[in-house]
Amino acid sequence: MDMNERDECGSEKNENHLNYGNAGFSSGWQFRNPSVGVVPGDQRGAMEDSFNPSLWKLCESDMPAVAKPVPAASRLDDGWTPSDSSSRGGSFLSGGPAILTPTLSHFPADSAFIRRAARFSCFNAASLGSMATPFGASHLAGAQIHDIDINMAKDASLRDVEPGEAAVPSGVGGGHENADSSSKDLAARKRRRSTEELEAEQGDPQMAAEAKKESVDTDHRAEQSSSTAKPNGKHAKDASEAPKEDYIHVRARRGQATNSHSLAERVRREKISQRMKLLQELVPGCSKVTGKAVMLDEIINYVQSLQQQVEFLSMKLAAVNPRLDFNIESLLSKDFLQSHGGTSSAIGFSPDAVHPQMHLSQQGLVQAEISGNLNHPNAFRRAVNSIPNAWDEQLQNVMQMAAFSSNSQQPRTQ
Amino acid sequence: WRAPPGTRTLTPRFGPSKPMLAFRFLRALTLVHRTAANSSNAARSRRIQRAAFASMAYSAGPRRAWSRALLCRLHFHRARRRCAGRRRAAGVPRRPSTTGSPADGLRRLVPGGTGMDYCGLLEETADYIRCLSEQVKLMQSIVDSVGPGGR
Repeated sequence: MDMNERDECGSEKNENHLNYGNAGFSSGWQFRNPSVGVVPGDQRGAMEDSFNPSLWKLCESDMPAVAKPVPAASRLDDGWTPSDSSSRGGSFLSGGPAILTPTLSHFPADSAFIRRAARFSCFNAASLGSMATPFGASHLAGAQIHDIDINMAKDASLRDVEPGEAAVPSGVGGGHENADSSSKDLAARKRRRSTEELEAEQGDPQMAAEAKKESVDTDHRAEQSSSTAKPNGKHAKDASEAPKEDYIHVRARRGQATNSHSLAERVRREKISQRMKLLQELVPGCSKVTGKAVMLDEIINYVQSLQQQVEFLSMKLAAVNPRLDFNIESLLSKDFLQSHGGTSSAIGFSPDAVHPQMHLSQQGLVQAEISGNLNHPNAFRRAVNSIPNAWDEQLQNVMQMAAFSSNSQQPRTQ
Repeated sequence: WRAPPGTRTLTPRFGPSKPMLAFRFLRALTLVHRTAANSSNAARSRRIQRAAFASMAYSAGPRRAWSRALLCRLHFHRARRRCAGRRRAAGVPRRPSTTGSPADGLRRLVPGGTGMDYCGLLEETADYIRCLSEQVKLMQSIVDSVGPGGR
């Protein structure tokens, strides 16, 4: 995943050097290992060392000359094609040897470099979790914080992997604290993510992979709605969150346990109650009934009654042999009229766009029926063509098929 | 077997597509009347009932668990009927819902309900109820359109 995110940053920055920038990055990473040691617990200086040349490489094509003078850094050149250094490269060159020593404690005061460092810090904060904490904390020095934050915000918005993620909690928040807490927060979320099951309810595997639970943010995430963690797909949308299409936010309510299990339970209960409300609307006469058990009984009774009705009606239909050849068309139109009248009153369409369309189709069909020649395929086509809505093709197909089949049945049902 | 074009955008919440349901059922109905005009009323009514459920399941689409389960059941029963001769399935004795979870009765009713969690069961039930009511309305309108004359 780390490599993927470096891929993205590379693609955003510099398309040409995507592939071999990564190769260079990885090689640089490995080469720096002896001096860096274990990454998470490392000093910030070593962190800078390992990051800096790769930062330069991914962002600038004219950087690699920097790495040459220092013998340790010369190994970085294996993956890097040397190119002429610009003036910025020159300035980097001056700062290069100093930077690449393990005991470096400060950066060259180059705004562009710091910007890039900030971008990478925010990327790496998202991907490397706690490892980025010393990095983020140390590198954002004083005067460039605002610049960095703005750039962080801009660049983080480019990343579509985790939109609204707390890697950029707020563009103008305090730089240090935000970086620290964001990285800590992300670390916590990363740990929690690994312990949770991931359901891709939205069907987006990437989003499901990124979805996390929130638990401890409630105190210092008050300013940002986007900073609440994204739970996995099975959690319902909380009304207080700004809803995004892809994933669902859950915020722990005040005074409630922020345990992940209890949050999941709460979301599940809300989902169930939502569905029960839906069912209540569907089942007639259930609006005054309260309580789950009684509702369930009512629903069961209703389903049983519906199934019995189907059986009874099928018996009736078996006994009755309607002359279906000319009945189909009138039946269809009547069925539309009836059903639309019935449904509009009883059920109430949630998609409002459906209603006007059905009215139009009603009118079309009624006109066709009134014109009288419903049996005639031409009349059918005329009626069909007069329905000017998006429902056209489906309805036309059905009508044509019905007309065709009815016409074809006529000679056979004599 | 694909959902008819325009169904998705048109009826996001509303499960069945009425014209397709009507068409399918009517076609099946005429087929039954044509091919089994000489068999008994009871046999025809069973066939019509199966046709009703089949058209319901087809028009609901494969996205729904209950429609898939219903079609599986129909095909399975049809295969068994053809192979093993006529055999009425005995009615399942209904146990009171006090034993076990309260959703068990619902699970038995809704096709495919046994393998679902409670939340999914509720959603499938909602869709099943919608489709069932549509089917009932359609059949009722057919019966009405024939008129009191009947045959």
